Amino acid sequence: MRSGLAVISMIGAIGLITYGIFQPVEGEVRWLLCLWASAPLFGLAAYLATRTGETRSLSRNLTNLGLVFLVGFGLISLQLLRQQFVRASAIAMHVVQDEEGQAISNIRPVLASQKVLRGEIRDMRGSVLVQSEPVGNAARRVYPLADRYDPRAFSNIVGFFSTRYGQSGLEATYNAYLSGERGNEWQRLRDSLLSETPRGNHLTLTLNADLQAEAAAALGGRTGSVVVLDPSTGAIRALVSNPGFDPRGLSFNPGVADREAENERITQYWQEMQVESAGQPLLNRATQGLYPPGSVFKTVTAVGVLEHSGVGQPETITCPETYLPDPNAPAIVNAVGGLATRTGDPSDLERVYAFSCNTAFAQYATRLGAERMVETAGRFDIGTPQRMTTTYRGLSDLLANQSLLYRDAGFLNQPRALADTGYGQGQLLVTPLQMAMVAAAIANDGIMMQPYLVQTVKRPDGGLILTHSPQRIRRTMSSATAQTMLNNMSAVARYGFGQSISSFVPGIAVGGKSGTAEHVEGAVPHAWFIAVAPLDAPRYAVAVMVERGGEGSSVGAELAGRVLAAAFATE
Amino acid sequence: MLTRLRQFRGVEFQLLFTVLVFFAAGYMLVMLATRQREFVATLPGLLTILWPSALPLLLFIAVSIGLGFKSPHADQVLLPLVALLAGLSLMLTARLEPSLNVRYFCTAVGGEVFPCYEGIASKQSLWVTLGVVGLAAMLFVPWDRILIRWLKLSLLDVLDNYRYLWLTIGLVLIFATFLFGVDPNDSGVKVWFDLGLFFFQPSELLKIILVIFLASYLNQHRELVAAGYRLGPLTLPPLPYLVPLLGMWGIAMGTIVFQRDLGAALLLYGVFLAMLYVATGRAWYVLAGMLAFGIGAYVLYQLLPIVSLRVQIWLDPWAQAQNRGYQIVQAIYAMASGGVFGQGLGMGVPAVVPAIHTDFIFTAIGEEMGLIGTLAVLIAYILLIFRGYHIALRIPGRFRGFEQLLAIGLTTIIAVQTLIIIGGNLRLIPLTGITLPFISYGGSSVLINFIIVGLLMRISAAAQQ
Repeated sequence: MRSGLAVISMIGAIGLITYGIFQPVEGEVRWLLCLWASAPLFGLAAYLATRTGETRSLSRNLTNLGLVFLVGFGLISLQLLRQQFVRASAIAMHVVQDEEGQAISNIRPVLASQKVLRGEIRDMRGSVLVQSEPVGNAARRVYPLADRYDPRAFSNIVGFFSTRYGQSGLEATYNAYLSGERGNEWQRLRDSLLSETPRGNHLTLTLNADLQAEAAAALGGRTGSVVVLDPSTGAIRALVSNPGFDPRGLSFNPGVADREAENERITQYWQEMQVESAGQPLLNRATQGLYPPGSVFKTVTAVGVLEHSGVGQPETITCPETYLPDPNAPAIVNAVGGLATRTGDPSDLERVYAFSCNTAFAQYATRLGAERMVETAGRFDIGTPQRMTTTYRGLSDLLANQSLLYRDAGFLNQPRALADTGYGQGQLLVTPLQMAMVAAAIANDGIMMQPYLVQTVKRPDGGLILTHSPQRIRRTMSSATAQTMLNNMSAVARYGFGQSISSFVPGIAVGGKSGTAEHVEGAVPHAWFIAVAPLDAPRYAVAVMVERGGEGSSVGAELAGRVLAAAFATE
Repeated sequence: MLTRLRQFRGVEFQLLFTVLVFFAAGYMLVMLATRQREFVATLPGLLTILWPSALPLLLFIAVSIGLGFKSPHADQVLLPLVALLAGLSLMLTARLEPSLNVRYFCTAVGGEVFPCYEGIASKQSLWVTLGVVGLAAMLFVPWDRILIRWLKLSLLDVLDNYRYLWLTIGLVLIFATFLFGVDPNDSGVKVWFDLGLFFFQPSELLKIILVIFLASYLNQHRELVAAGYRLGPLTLPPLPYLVPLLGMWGIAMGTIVFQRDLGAALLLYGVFLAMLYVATGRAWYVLAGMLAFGIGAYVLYQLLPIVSLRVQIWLDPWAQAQNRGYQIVQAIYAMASGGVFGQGLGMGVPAVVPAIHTDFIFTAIGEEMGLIGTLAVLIAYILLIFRGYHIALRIPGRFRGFEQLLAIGLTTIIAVQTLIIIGGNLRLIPLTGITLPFISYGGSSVLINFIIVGLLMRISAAAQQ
């Protein structure tokens, strides 16, 4: 009976402890309640287990007192077990806002990160873009890339490294490798035992730093993005987002005498970046910016028509001045009047694509229907909101947003909406990276490769930790469709709306597609262009996009042409 | 010669030697990790680093050898445990001083700025040395002979017989702190005496005096036939128990009200209840006492801002993490950052926690030595406490009840104090500022704790004869 009671109270106490000890940091009060509630149970169990016949002798009393203290020390041990083992990392990383809205976090990771000699970031040719140099017994992040290029052109890729504001870009996504927490655990243990400065691992990128700088220069001061991919591997050769920021502005120098002033300088730069006129320099427009694609999306519709040629009837098409998919909605008109004289009547896919005929692609989308449009876009990872992931996981090296075919559920069931989507308007929202991937898939015989930026991660002693081997996402279209699409894109550059691109790369056959995307009623449209070159064996797939840039066939084609020229020149 | 050899305190000597090696290794590590000294890898190089700082530890060994002659049967485990904790204290103050010096600056009257905690490591060395000397004085000075000549009573009998003198001294001390207490380091409680050379915390002395009085008093009334007084429906404890219950309750509440010293109140009252229970064996006295304390504390919670503030911080330290909850939140971060194996001695940043070298020294252990270190320290305290009770139980209580209760009371001081401060550090109970016995920096605390151990050793020596 007595031992039974002891066992029961022991089980109860252990149950309370196991329930409480795994509570998250926010549930600390619940844990403390459990802990205190278990104390009398532990005490009762111990009392029953040690009880002897004698009553009220001093030794008996002292035993009971000792049990009380033992339970006390037991509670302390359990709290230690939770604070230092079970929930240790969660508590150490716990960030809270206090009553005044100030964020409170553990200072130790910050101090530790200052002490680490973080790894270097190098471009595809091994030239060092970012490195750390020791300053006293701490380290500071320095940017050799600023000696040769405008550092703002690289800010969206390398990101910033701040002891106060955290990290962005590759500094954030590869933090575990750059700080050496992952990859060379053995070396790190040795460093900590010998109390030597811990060293991080080096990243070698697929990026062509010269091309990156040239592409940023071609974009000039305009707000926009440039993406250059190697279609056969998915390697990112350039990824420009303008405006950028100078990562040196956020890099803390522990060597300065006046640390307050140094912190003040960083705080001020951070605040300058937050003001509206700065144009969101922290946003990586190339992978996170979501824009209506305009006519470049006709490429996807064209693939859908070719892949479903039974219902799509690619070669049976006209380019009327207006097209009325829904009698209750206004008619669709072409951007340029009198297009039929250029495309011919009846026309074919190549010519309506080359002259970017809206009414033709509206008809194609209507023929395909909502389901096939969703299916075709899905092949290029342009999803529907039902999937509900806002981050695009196809790119893992940097933060990227999911491109969407439409926003509102059931949108494509409206005839007019479906028709609009066919020529790239409607509710489409895509990232420049996604459109570059569409071009790259066509250039790679229909196979879309996973885009990547980090080629290798190496230990400070040169040992290889990981290397990226090209990964295919999927075959998006048949080989024949890819070939047809290359032809269509070539037609754009040969005689269509985008001819000007050829003049920038003399002697090299290019293909492309322009886009002029309307976003706000009456505002200057976004200029788009996607391109591939050289046509016989494409080495580059390009997407450029200028916010409020104007006509895709002029502004876009020119920018894409300059980028391609730079790509060939810096090979 | 053979008897001398038989009296050699082998267990104690071996343990002390182990502690010495532990201290030497730890101290070397601290000196190297905090880059206070350059290490030349030779024996002289080793000795230059260790020499003055290992002195207190060597004194322990000297005391041990001395005990072999004076009272070879005194307890052999107590001294090494104390040496371990004191060694840890020296190691930690040496480790914390440079970190505190770069972080906390004080302004002198003349506007001159200096590090607030300069020299704490050497001061603590001095205190521990003085503590060992005090302990040796308790053990080796022939108190009994001196006192028998003067008062016709042995030391322990003097303590037993003059109980009301002790009570008076204790009460005078309490009232003196109410009146003359100062607050030298802005902690919000006026519990120090300014003695010119140094600050003395009277509550440290008070706890010993109180235990001596209670041991004597409760021993006198031990054989009491339990006959309660009836007061309406309530049965009150018999008068000899009721009076001290009420008196102690009054003292505890007064300490909170007049000095804002929650820690001392909790400690004194806790020790009293423990002794009352051991002497009478009546749990309901203790429960009633706890209830009365709870009611009093609740009333004070409503009335006194400092009490309600402490409780609020305890319930949700994160809400005011930047000001009032700063200390406990930083302590929680420090403990969690320590993990299982700790950051390594000298490798953490314990100085972000205010009062890390006094009230929060357990947190420094947690950060730099991890769960392994904290549990080891807990085990050391448990061993120390249970050794103290063991000593008490080996005394034939029927004839020497005072000594028995005194040993229990002195040990209970260490137990309750350890539980209160570690519990506060770990957010198990509201934080109250008292020291971690033997480890925290601070003169009065170290001296008094060594005197407690000296008394315990003396009682154990007497019990074995």
